[in-house]
Amino acid sequence: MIKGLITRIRLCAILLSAAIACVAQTGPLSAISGRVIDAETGLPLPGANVFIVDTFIGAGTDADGRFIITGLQPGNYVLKAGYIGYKFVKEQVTVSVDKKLVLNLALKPTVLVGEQIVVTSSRQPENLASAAGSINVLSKNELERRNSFRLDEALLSVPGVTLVGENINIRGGSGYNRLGGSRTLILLDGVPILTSDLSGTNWNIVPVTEVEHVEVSKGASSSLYGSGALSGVINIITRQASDGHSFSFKQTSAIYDRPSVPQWRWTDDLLYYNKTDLSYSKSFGPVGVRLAMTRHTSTGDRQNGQFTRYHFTGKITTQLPENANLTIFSTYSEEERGLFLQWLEQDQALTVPSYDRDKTVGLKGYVGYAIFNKLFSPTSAFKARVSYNQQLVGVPFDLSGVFAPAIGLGGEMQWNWKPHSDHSLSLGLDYKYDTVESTYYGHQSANGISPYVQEIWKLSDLLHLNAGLRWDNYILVGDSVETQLSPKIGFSWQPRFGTILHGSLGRAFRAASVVERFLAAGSTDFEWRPNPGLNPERSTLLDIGLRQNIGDHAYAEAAWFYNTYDDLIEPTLFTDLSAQFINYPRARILGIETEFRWRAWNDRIRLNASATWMDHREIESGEPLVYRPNFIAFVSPGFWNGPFGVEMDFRYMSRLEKVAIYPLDERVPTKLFDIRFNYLWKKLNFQFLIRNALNYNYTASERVLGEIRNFALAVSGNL
Amino acid sequence: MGFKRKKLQHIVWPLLAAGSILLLLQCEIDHGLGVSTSRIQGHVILPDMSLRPDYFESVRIVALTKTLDAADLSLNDVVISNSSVDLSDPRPAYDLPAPLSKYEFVGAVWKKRGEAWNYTRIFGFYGFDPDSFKFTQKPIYLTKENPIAKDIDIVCDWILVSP
Repeated sequence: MIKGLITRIRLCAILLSAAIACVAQTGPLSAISGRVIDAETGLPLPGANVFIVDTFIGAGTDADGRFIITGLQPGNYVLKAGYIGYKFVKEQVTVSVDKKLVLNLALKPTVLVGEQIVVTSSRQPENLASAAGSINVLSKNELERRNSFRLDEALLSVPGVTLVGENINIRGGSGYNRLGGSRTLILLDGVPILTSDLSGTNWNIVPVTEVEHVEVSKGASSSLYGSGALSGVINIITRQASDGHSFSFKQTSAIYDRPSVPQWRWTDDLLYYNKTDLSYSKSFGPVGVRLAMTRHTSTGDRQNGQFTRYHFTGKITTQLPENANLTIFSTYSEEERGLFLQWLEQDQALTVPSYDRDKTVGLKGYVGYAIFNKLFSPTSAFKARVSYNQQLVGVPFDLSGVFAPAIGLGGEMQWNWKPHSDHSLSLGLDYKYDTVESTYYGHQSANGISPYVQEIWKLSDLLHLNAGLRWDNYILVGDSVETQLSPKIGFSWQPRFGTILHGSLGRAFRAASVVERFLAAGSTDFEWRPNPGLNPERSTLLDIGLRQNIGDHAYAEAAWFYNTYDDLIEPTLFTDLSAQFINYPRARILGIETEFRWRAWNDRIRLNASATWMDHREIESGEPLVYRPNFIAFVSPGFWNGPFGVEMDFRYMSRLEKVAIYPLDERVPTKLFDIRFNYLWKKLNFQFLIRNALNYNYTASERVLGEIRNFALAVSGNL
Repeated sequence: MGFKRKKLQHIVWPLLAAGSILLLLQCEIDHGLGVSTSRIQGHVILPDMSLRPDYFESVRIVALTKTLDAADLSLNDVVISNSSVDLSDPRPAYDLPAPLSKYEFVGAVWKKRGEAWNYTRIFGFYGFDPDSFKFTQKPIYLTKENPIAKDIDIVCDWILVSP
């Protein structure tokens, strides 16, 4: 096994070095540099995109809002700068030989989400307005304001996104698999980070404080990303290094309130948590460095709910000669927590059964990648990456070290080419290798190789078409080959200024995870039976939407979606209290998603709201699907006056119609109300947060209560 | 003057916001789940436990919304207790939280050592007379008006247990 792994690591290394070695092009002639700032406050905008229109030439701004675009031929260009929540700025520029042009670009805030650059829905930078599918962007500012501990919590503000257990759902696509099996592909800077054993997400591995923004692309995405992108893709884009020294910190301390039901109180001790985030960034000539660490400790709000988490991240970006750069990223997390699988009984909902008391679980994860980018010409760009993903997540009853780390290796080459100003083509080849070992599912390994192609065709400035196709060949060693062809087509059309109609239709699939196929485990309550014959699940997703700007201060979007699923993999319980993953023959989810954003009174009053209605059924029986709500809503009003701001988030999820385990248990809708008070003083931001302000009780999954009310004080700053 | 007004604004707005939220939190609000209000209570009447076979491990309480022989019986129809009955007491009390419903069967199930729980392994049930070996079906109704069913005693017998 080790020998095979080394061979594969070597293969990936050869792939990357070959990619680096094959580059040869004319040297840089001139450059454009400058800063991108907020037009109203004058503050720098880190993470803004600056690029030359109709080319692949561009750069992101650093923590000080600075950018530099090198290697330009003399001539006239149109320079465009964009940032999430701001209007685009376009400038005509003339570049002369051996002369560096310095520009300052001031961007005005806007709620019009079309004014954003996204990279996930077509694997190349594009204006969100012209994206064919439904896509939402979660900005760094929103993440910072919510002070979410993990990214999965922060994603709940995105329209149509819910969380059941640790499964992120886009438009009800995932349900709750209990043991991973994510139907949403999670990418870190475009690199897949789903675990090789469970095909789930270790959310601890994602460094929230290092996130620049998150793109949530809804709909079938297997035509670009392959297995797992069944209901959408979440791409987490990390921050760039700053030019000068940049040190930032955040300290959050909180106490838990008493439960609203007096009988649930299980201790007289004070229950609390503390979280410390530190990050440092600096550029040393052409080398930019970012380092970050987090420590999060908690007593938990329930018996055996204590945990300690550590997290370390490093990112190095090197500008290479010949218009190339190399980014190396590394992230490690470790968690030790008490085991709370389910409550003792509803009358003691914060108490763990005696057989789980004092049991702990350890989770360790590591993700590393290297990405090499090379610009051959203004219209031809190349990207290669290798990645390594090692997770020791195991399953919660891994108490005796019976799991070896699950290892995933990946490699990819992608070429973007604009043969004409109206056409943009992406060609790529993706490779992955997974190996896992446990007494519960034996030693399994698999590999897959997948070519893909994507074309964006601008029929006019107002009408864009795109089409993509990917062929996946996934071989589970010792088993049959799974071959999938995933096509997708889409359009965006602007019939008049401020109105955009978009639509997409695509096929997607997800191969069953190793755990879903081979898990054979028994405990005092359950026996989990393997099902090696599981078929991959497939989906066909249709999405039609309308984006509408309402004046300069309001924006609305509505989308209708119809998704059908074949061979959906779901856990099923049998009457002998054993469980198994099985294929459901056919299912469908249809619904309407709406979103509204409004800013008034010079941005003092802000309102974000969204609502999603869904109807989900097994087609043969007409029964609702497990772990899906019918209605979700999110309302977030905010008021800012000078340095003071108060914001509220209200999340509603209707009662789950059907669950797989303990179906007779009482279930209620989820109603979560968070309040935040902010005060800015010099370079410091003080925040007082009340989470679950109504102290509302609901089950996050069967017999596991959602977090009770807590009061937090946070102070953060950049030095 | 302008400076004073600005300073005052910085105090008034936070106070107003905090005050209105404190007022809101004082209101009578829906707290969602609470303790379970409906339940089945009684005693488990155990046989002579010195006769307990080696393979016999523990006992839990189950309530079924359908009869045991119903063809469409599934886990959706089962309420099962979380913890085992105290087998050292010859007449242990039990208290099973159960949703409002009609229950056709209330009984005790036993777990075979080394195997998973299986609610078809009956050890005793409500309405069972071990002397006459007769079973009188006695449905239990948990309603809003009568959410607690008391004295639902479950009589167990080794005759129902086989490996």
